[in-house]
Amino acid sequence: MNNLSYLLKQGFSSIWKNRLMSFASLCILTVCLLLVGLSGFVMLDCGIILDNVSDKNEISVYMEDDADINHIKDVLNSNTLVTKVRYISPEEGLESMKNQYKDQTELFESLPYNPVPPTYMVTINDLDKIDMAVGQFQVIQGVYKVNAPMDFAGFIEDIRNTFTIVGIALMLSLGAVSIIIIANTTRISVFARRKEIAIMRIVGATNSFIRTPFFVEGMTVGLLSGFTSWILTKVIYEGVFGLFSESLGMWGALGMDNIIKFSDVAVQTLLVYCAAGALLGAIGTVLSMSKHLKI
Amino acid sequence: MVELKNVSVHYKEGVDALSNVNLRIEKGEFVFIVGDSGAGKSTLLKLITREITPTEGRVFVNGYNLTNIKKSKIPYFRRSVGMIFQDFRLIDNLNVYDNVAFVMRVTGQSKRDIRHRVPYVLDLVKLTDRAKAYPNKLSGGEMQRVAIARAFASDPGLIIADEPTANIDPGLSYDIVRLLREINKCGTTVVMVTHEHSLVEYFGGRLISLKSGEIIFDDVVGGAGEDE
Repeated sequence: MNNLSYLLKQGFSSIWKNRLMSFASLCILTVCLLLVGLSGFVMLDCGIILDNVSDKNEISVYMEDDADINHIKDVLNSNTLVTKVRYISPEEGLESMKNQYKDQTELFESLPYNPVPPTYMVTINDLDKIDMAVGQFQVIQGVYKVNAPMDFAGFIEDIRNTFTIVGIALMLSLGAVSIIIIANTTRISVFARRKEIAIMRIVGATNSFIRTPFFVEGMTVGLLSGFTSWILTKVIYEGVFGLFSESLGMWGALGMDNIIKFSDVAVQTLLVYCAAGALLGAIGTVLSMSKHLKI
Repeated sequence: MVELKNVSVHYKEGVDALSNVNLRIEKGEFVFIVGDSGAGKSTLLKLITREITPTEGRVFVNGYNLTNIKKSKIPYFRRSVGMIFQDFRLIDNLNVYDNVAFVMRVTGQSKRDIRHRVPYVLDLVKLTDRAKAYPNKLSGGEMQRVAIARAFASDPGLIIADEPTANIDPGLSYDIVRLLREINKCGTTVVMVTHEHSLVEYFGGRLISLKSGEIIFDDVVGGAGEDE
């Protein structure tokens, strides 16, 4: 117990003695964890939005005002990809829009006529063939426009893929930089304490006794970075989340209201951030000690 | 206590530092080791402290076979040996008390033991009133006394003094040897390497002389100055 408190004290005092390098390590590690963490959140949120969009895999088939809606219904029902066809009259369509944009009712009041066309909402059985289905629906006589939710899904998918690549690239590059910086901090600590270390060896200090303060130093910087980046992630994420919440009328329809709330995952995120920070700190320390502290 | 059997050390550079050395130092002895530069004194000390292993032969110290000791056991072996260097090797940012206590802390001794032992050894080396002074405020002689106190703090069975009088005023050299002899009287074996033949002539005792890696003299010589 005596030893443990002594070793912890040595580790903490070493952070203060090398405060410039420790601060640099802390900043780099914080930025690394923050960017990787935010990328992770974006990836997860994109996944949730994609799931929502997939759940609403209805294709909107808008028809001309004078179209033969029964004929179109028959054509749609005869398509092997179609599982369900639901008719929405122009009146129902307008009502639905009014409900969706409750805050902007004046937009609808000033309309000289109902601009919503008669629509069939078509559910298909294979999402992978949605492009084919859209192509087939577009050529039906009386159909003037076909909207597929997968245009938006494709956009979200692109965002998710981009953030996955960016997240992995950031994790690898900034992780490596963090490890190098921490390793360098440890090297400087070893150099600053070289006389002490030499005496420790002579008088019979064990390897673990000599190395523990450096671990304490590296892992403390890692933990502090984890905590700092967690706070920054919370502030940034909740800020962005707040922006979406304010305009949920629009975003809610796209499934944005289901994205992760930071408060729901705050504890888990804190643990992951601190564990990742401590792990990076430990790896940097081990690498440095294996090179500069051969006992 | 210390035994070397047919020990030879050949360095990679082709230097034969020690050649077929046989040596036995019993518990409680005080031994001077002398020799010119390159005679093999440093190599001998490095063998005894297990900084190096012999190319041939076997080394036993304080019951440890240093030729095939496990790496993990080396720290525990070193706790049984106190080291004193000519350049003192004190930690600059620790005061006299903490420099001495440092050894006990790193070897896991309790606070209570440290509180009892450190004042005792500081009294032995007559530095009680300098306990709070930092190394940069001490004279060479005082620094070496701190180093002796540190070596003796863990009550080792063997103290190795590597030219402990080399960096202090000649007049104080005698005080340092007197201090080491006092520690020796407590039952601790002392092996002191020195260039100063005048000290050997003055104090007398067992003298081992090395030349070109071989022991050329090993016997007890009489001292002109003080009796045991």
